[in-house]
Amino acid sequence: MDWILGLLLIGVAGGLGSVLRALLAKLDGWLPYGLFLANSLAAGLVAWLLLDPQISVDLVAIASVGFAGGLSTFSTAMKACFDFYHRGRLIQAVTTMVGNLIAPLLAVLLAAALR
Amino acid sequence: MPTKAKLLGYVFLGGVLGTMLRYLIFEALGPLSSQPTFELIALFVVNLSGTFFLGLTARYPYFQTEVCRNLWGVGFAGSFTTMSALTLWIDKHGSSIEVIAMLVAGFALYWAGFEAGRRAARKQL
Repeated sequence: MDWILGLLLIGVAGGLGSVLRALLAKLDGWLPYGLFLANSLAAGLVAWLLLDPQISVDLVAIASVGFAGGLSTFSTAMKACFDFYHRGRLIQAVTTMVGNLIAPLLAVLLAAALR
Repeated sequence: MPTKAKLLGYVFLGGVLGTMLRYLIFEALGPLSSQPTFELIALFVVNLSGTFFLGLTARYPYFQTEVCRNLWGVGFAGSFTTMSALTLWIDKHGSSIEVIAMLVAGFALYWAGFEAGRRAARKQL
């Protein structure tokens, strides 16, 4: 695939992932459940794709670097954690930090188990 | 006031730009790819710089519109940083001091960006 075309397709896939993340962010409560879901779906998707040798390298790059990269986010997880800390909600801050690591890891294990 | 669909359009645009820039940074750091820590170095660069930038957008006067927040905050900074690549790195190499350092530094840099934005906002008053 042409390098520029690849870059554009990865970008568009990332844009779509970002829109899905913005929509999932509405699932908010005691914890940012939508954020956990977005990061978990992205990690699970990448693990799923990497375990299938028949999928082309280009498609894996577009779906993983692009879509899953746009869907998952480190900065928003830090923002959510800081917002809780700033309001004196330490338990929620720590749970958000740890949950954003554990939930995606569980999604990776689930994707591997389902393969 | 922009409609929800229009704001999602700005999220999309920011997402396209952030994802492309992240990809280009990983490509630019390609010469380091023979090093086992290449991916982690690239993750440090994008995640920490993107988190500082998101902190800045929280208070910096220029970003205090719905359009700018969705374009540069939710879209750009959100997609520029990545948790899925970090998760796969942890899955492959295990949790390490570097991962904990990234989390602590990410939290601190978001705070630093937030404070820098707040100071800029105070100067404007």
